[in-house]
Amino acid sequence: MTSVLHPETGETQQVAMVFDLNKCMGCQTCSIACKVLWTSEEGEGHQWWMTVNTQPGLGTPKGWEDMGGGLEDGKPRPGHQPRREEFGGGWDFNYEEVFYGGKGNSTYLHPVDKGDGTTRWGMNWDEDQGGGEDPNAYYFYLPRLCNHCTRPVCAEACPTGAMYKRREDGIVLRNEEACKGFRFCMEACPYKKIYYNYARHVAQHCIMCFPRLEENVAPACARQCPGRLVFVGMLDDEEGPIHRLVNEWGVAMPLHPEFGTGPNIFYIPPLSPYRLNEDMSIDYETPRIPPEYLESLFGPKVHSAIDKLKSELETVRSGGTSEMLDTLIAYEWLSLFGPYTQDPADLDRSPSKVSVDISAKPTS
Amino acid sequence: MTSGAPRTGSDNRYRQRWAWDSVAWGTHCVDCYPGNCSYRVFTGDGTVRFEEAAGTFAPVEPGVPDKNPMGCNKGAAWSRQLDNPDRITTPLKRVGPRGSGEWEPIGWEEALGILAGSIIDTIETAGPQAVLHEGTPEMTTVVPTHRFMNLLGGTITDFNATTNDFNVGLHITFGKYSPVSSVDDWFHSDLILVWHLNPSFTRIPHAHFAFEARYRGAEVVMFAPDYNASAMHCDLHVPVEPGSDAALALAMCQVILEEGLEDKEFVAEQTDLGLLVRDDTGRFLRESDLDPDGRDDQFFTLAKGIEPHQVLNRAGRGSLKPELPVRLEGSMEVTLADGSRVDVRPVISLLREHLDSAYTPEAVAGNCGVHPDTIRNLARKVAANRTNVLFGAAASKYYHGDLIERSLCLLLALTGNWGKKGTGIRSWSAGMFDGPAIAMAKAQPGVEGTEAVIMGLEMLAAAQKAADPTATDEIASEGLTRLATQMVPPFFHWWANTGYRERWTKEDWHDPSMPRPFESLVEEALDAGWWEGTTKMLSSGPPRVLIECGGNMLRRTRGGRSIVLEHLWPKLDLVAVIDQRMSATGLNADLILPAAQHYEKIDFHIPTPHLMHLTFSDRAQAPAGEALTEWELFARLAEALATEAQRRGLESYKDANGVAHRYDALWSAYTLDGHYADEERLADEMLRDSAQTGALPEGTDLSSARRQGHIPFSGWGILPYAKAQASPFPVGETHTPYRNHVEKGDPYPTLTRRAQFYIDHPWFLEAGEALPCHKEPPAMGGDHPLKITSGHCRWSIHRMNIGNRLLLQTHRGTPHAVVNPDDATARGVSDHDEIEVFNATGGFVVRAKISPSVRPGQIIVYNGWESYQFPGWRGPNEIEGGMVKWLHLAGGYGHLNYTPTAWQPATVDRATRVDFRPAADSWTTTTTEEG
Amino acid sequence: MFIYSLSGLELKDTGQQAVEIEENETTARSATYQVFGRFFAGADDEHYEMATSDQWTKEFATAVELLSFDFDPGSAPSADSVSKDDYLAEFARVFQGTPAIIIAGSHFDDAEQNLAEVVRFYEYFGLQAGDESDRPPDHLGTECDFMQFVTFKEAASPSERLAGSYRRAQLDFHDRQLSLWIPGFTEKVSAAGTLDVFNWAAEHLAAFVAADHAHIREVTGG
Repeated sequence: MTSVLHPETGETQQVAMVFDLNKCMGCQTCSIACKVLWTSEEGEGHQWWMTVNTQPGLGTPKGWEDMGGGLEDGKPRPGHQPRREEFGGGWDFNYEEVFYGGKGNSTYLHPVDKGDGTTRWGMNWDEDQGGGEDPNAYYFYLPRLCNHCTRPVCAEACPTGAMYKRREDGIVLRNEEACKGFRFCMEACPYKKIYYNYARHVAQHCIMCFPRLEENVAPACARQCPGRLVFVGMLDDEEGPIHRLVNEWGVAMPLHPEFGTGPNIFYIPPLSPYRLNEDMSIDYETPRIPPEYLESLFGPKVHSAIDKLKSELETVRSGGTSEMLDTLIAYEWLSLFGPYTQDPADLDRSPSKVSVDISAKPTS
Repeated sequence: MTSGAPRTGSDNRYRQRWAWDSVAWGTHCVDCYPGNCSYRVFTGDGTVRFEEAAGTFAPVEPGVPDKNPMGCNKGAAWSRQLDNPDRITTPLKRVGPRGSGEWEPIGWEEALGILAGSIIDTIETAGPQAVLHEGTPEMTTVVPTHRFMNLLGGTITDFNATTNDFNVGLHITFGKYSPVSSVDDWFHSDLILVWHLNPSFTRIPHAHFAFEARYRGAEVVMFAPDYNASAMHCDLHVPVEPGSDAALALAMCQVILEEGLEDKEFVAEQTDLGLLVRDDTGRFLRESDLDPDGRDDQFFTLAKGIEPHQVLNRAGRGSLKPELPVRLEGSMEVTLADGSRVDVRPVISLLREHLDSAYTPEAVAGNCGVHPDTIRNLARKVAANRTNVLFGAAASKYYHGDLIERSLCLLLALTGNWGKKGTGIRSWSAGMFDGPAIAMAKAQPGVEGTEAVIMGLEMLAAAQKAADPTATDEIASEGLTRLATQMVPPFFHWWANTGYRERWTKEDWHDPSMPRPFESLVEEALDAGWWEGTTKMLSSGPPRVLIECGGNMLRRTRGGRSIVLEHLWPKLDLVAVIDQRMSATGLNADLILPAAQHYEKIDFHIPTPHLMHLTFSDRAQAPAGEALTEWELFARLAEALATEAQRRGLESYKDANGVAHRYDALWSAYTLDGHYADEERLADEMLRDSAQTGALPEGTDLSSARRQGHIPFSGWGILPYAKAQASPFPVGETHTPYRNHVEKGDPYPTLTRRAQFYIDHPWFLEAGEALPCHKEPPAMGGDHPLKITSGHCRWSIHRMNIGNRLLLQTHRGTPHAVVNPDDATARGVSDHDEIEVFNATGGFVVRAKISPSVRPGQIIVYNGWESYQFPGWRGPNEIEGGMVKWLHLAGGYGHLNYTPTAWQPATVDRATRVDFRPAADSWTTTTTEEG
Repeated sequence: MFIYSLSGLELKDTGQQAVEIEENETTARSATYQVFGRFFAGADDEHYEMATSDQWTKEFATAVELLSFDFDPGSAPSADSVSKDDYLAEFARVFQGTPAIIIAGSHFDDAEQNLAEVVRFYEYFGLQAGDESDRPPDHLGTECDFMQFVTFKEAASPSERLAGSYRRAQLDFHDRQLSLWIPGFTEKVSAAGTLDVFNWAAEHLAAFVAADHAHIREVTGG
C-alpha cells in the first residue's frame, strides 16, 4: 500500500475530535461557522465541509452510506463519485423577481430550478424526519466532517500526489495547485466528504481549520458550537479528554469503522427516551433508538458504550460522582479544546502578515 | 508554529481567508430572547468579513458550567445579512399599485418629505393619534420609535399583545409574569420538565445547561405531542394531545394531594389555598363582609385554636409569614355584618373536590393521552425533586393557555417548587438596563438630570408606600409600569379597524362557556370602566399613517395578511416601512426606508436576568448604501416635519389629550436640545445612567463597553421588571427569583397578596375558571380534523434571517408543513408535494414534509416565514382565526387590570383546526391582489 | 468662600448659577486643580510675571491650605533668568511641540478614541469644551478644569448620592486619564531640559495627581 504518513519519523501526532451526540441540537452552527470562513467563494456554494444530519436519514450527499469507497480487507473498495445533484444545494433565489420584478404576488421566493436537479436535495434536506412510527418516532443528530483518517484512502487514490497527511498533526490536506480535478479522491472517500469546485476545477474538503490550529485556536466548528460538545486535541495525549473518552472509558467511537480507514473523529453515541407501549404506558426497558441501528453506524462496541453511559447516569442520580460525566459536562468551556485555547480576537491577523513563505523549507 | 507547516500556495490561500485588520464587539439586537450572545466581529478594510462567538464569559458559580460560547447558526451567519439580496440600502417609493413590486429609488429628502407631509395631513385632519406605530420588542427600534411617537402624540400599540409573548396564567397566579431564573440555574435542577418549549430550537445558546444538568444527575422530561430536537436528549418523552396540558398537570396535582405529598407549609404560606371562600357566593370571605367599614382586599384563613375551636385569622397583606399557623382543613360558620351566617372553607378544600371529581389520572387519560401510571410516576417525582418547568411563550398562544399555565403553577405550588435553586417556571424579563428609560425621561442631560429622575421615582414609590404601608418595594414600583409607557392595548384598534370583529363574534370558535355574545361582553367590560384610558383607538377614528419599524404586521398578525390588507390598508393614506430588509409589510408599503444593520450601529441586547449581563454591539462598519440608524432617521424625520410645517405656515397642534405640540420643537425635544444627536453620546449617557442606579458597575461608560463587550450587571436597578424578580441580587451564584417571597415572606402583587389560584372575579366564576381547570381548545377555524401547533423554527429569529441565503440552504429553502405519514397517505400526499392547508378562515399552499415525529392529527408549520415565500403571498397566518379569549377582557380586580405588556386580550393561534389536500395547480398562479 | 472658575470648559446649562460655598478640604482640591489648570492653560505676560515674582508659590500655598492629605507645593523656582519672550517661547517649545506635548491624546495609542471619551466625560457632568481652537478638550489645562469642576460639584452637592456620583467621576477620570498619562508627561518635561519652573510645576502636578488619586480611591472604596 502507498503510505502517505511520514516515513521519516515513523510516527505522528494526530489531531482528533470527539462529538458528544447527547448534547447536539442539530442547530448547524458548526456548519455555518465553517461555511462562512471557508466556502463562501465562487464554486463553493454547494460545499459544506461540516454538516449535521438527522439519523436515520439519507444525509448528504444523498444516500452516502451506500456509495462505497474505503477499504475492504485492506484493499480499496470501489466507490461512487457523488454527483452534483446528490449534494444538491448551492441554490440561487429569485429575490430580484419577487421584490422588484413588478410581478406582485404572482411569484414568490424560492430556489431557482436550473433543471439540474439540485433543488431536490440539500445538505440537510431530510432534517427531523427520522425513523420509527408514532408514538415511537425517533431521530438524533450526526455532525460530520472529514475524518482526517489514519489511512487516508483519498490521498492514496490521488494520481497526482496532491494530497498529503501533515506530519505535526495528521491533518489531511491537498495542494490545490497540484490537484488536477480528477476526483479519484471523491470516489475513494467512504464518507463522501470531498467536494468539487466547478469554478476552479479542484477538489476541496475540510482543512481542520489549519490556519487556526497554527495559531492555537480551536477549529471554527468546535469553538462556535453552542452545545459545547466538540472536544479537540491530540489523540495520543493520555491526560486529555479525547484519549480517555476513546481509549480509557470506551464511550467514543468512530463512524462506520468497517470502512477501514481509521477515522479520527469520534462520537459519544446517543441515548434516547424510553419507548411507549401500545397503551401509551412507558416501557422502561427499551430505548427509542433501536440498538441495532446504532450498531449499523458505530459497530458492535456501541452497546457497551451505551451501557457505560447509562450506568454512570445511574451513579450520579443516586448521589455518586462520575469523572466521565464531569468531563462531558465541560464545566470550563476551554477544557474542550486541548492545546487550542487561544482567543482569535487577541491575534494580529493583518492580511499582509498571515501568509508563510512557501519557498522556504519546513524546519522540523 | 511554522515547524513542518506545509508550503503550498493553496495553503496560503486559506490563511488569507482567516485574516482581518480590526475586531469589534457585536451582538444581534433583535427580539431574540434571551439571546445576549456576545460576538467578535472581524473586519478588513472597513468591511465586516465574519463573526465568531466571543467565548469570554467568566464563570459565575463554582461547580456550575460557564456560559461560553453562547451563539447559534443565525448569529454565525449574521454577517451574511449585511449584503443579502433582501437587504434594503436606498429609500424606495412605490410607483405601481400597492404590492406590485414596482419601486423607484429616491433620496432621503424626498422620502422624508413624503412621510412628513402625510403625517402633517393626518395631524391637521384627524389628529396625531391617527399616526400608528405597531409596537415591537426590538431593542434597536423601541427607543427611537417610542420617543418619536410620544413626542408626536401618535399611537403605539402594546407590543406584547401583538405578539402574545406574555404568560397570562403566570400573571393571574403571581400578579407578574417576568421573574426568571438565570439560565445557569437550570443546572441546579433535579427534575427538568420541558413543557411548551423546544430549547434545541429556541434556546440554542443556553440549552446546554439542561442537558448538562442531566449529566449531573437530573432527570429531563419532555412534554410535547411531537418527538422533537429536544426530546432526543430527555429521559422521557410524554406525548400530550395538543392543548390538553392542563388536564395532565391537574391530574398530577390530584395524585399529590391524594397521596399527601404536598408541601403543606409552602402551600399555607405562599398561596391563597388557605384563604376562606364563602359557600353561598363562591367568593372569598372579605373583611367588608364582616364589617361594613372593612377592607375589600382583606382576606382570612383558618387557624387552629384550642380544640375544637377554630380561629378566623387575618391573612397578612404586608407579610406572608402567618401569626398563627394556617389550617388547611376544616370549615367554619361565620356571622356576616348583616347578621346572616355562612359557611366558609379554605380554597384547598374546593380544590380537592374539584380535582377528585374530574382530574384523577384515569379520568384525564382520555383527554391528554397519557397513561395513568405515567401520571402517578411523574407526580411523585415532582413532589420529591427540585423541579424546574423549562417553559416558553407557547402555552399562552393557546386559547386556554392561561389554564395550562395556572395548572403548571399549581403543580409547583403544591410541591414547594419555586424560590429555591433549580426550581420555578420561566417567562421573560427585560429589566436592569435602566439607561434607556432614564435617558428618555431626563429634562436635562448629564448626571444632574439622572439624579432628578431617580429622585422622582423614589418620591413616587414613597407616596405609594405612604398610601399603603404594606407595599413592598416591588409593589410600590408597579405604578411605574403605567407611567413609563404610552402604549395602548391593540385590542380596541383591532376591534374597530382591522376586520377582527367578524371573527371574534363567531360563537362556535369560542369556548362553550362564553356566557353572552362577544360583543355584549366587550360592551360590559367598557361600561364597567375596566379599560378606561386605553380605548382611544375606538373613538378617534381609523389610523391614517402606519409607521412600521422593527415589526412586520403582514407576516405576524394572527388572522392573516389578507384580513389586514382588506380592512386596514384601504384606511391608510401612507404605509411607511423602516427596515434593514424587505419584509412582507415592506412589499405592500408605499415607502420603504433603509435602516442600518446590527453591525452598523451602536446598540445593546435586551437586558435580562436570564443572562445577568448587558451585551454591547458596536458599529463595525458604516451603514450600507443610504441606510440610516433608526435613531438618526427619526431625528431627520423630526426636522422634515418642521420644514414641511413651515412651508405650509403651520406652527402647532393639540393631541388627543389636549397637549399642545410645536412642529419646530420636535427635533430639539427628540434630541434633548441636540445632546442626543450624537449616538455615541446617547449610548454613553445610557450606560452612565445605569451606573448611577447601581444596575451596572460604577464607572461604566461607553469606553468600558468597548473594552469588555459584555458587562455583568451589579444590581437590580429601578425598573419594575427587575424588582419583580423579588430576590437578593446574586453575587457569585446563579439567580433564582421569588426568594424574597419564600425566604422573607414578602407578599406577591396579587389581589390576595399570595400566589393566587382562586380568582373570584364574577366573570371567572361565570366561566367556571375560578380554579385552574382543563378546557378543550375551541374549534377555531371550524370543524376540521387536524390541529396546527407550530412554534419557532431554528433557522430564523422570527423573520430575521429567514431570507438569509446561507440559512436557507440548511433546510429545503422553502417553507414546509410537517405532517404524519398516515395523514399524508390518507390524502394522497408524498414528501415535498405542494399541499393546501385550509379551514374556514382561509388557506395557504406549502410543501409537505412527512415525518413520523409528528403525531397523526397534528401539523406543524414553524413560525418565521415571510408571506412572500408562499404562493400568492399567503402564509400560515391566513388560517389563524386570531381569536381572543373573552375572559381576558375582565378587569377591575386587583392585579387583573390593564398592565402594559401584561394583562390585556391578545390573539391566539395554537390548536387552530385545519385540514390539507394536494394543492390545485391554480394556487401557484394567483394574480396580483389589490391592497 | 470658594467659587470655581473655568477657562477651557463651559457650563452646558447656561441658566445654571455658579454658587459660592464654604471652603473645606474638597474645595481645596478644587482650588489646587484650578491653579494647575491656570499654569498649564498656556503662558502669557501674566504667567511670566507670576513666575518672576512669588505669585505661583502664593497661589498654590493658599489653594492647598485645607487639603486633607499631604501635598507640599513648596516654592516655585523663579524664571527671572530669562526674558519674557524667551519664557513664552520655551513654554511653546516644550508643551506645544514634541518634547512634552500638553495634549492627552498624544500620550495614548488611540488619540481620537481618547478625545471622544474625554468629551463624553465633560458632557455627562454638565460641561462642554469651549470654542478656543488652541485648547482641545484633552488639553491638560482643560482636564484640570474638569477636575476642578467635579470636585467643586461634589462639595456643593445637595445630596450625598449626587456627591458620590461626582466623587466617582473623579476616580474614573483619574483611572482613565490623569493617572495614565501625567507620570509619563512629567518624565518628558524633565527630559526636555527646560526651565526649573516648568519642571517644578510638572513634578508637583504628578505628585498632586498621585496623592489625589490615592485619596479619592480611599474615600470611594474604589
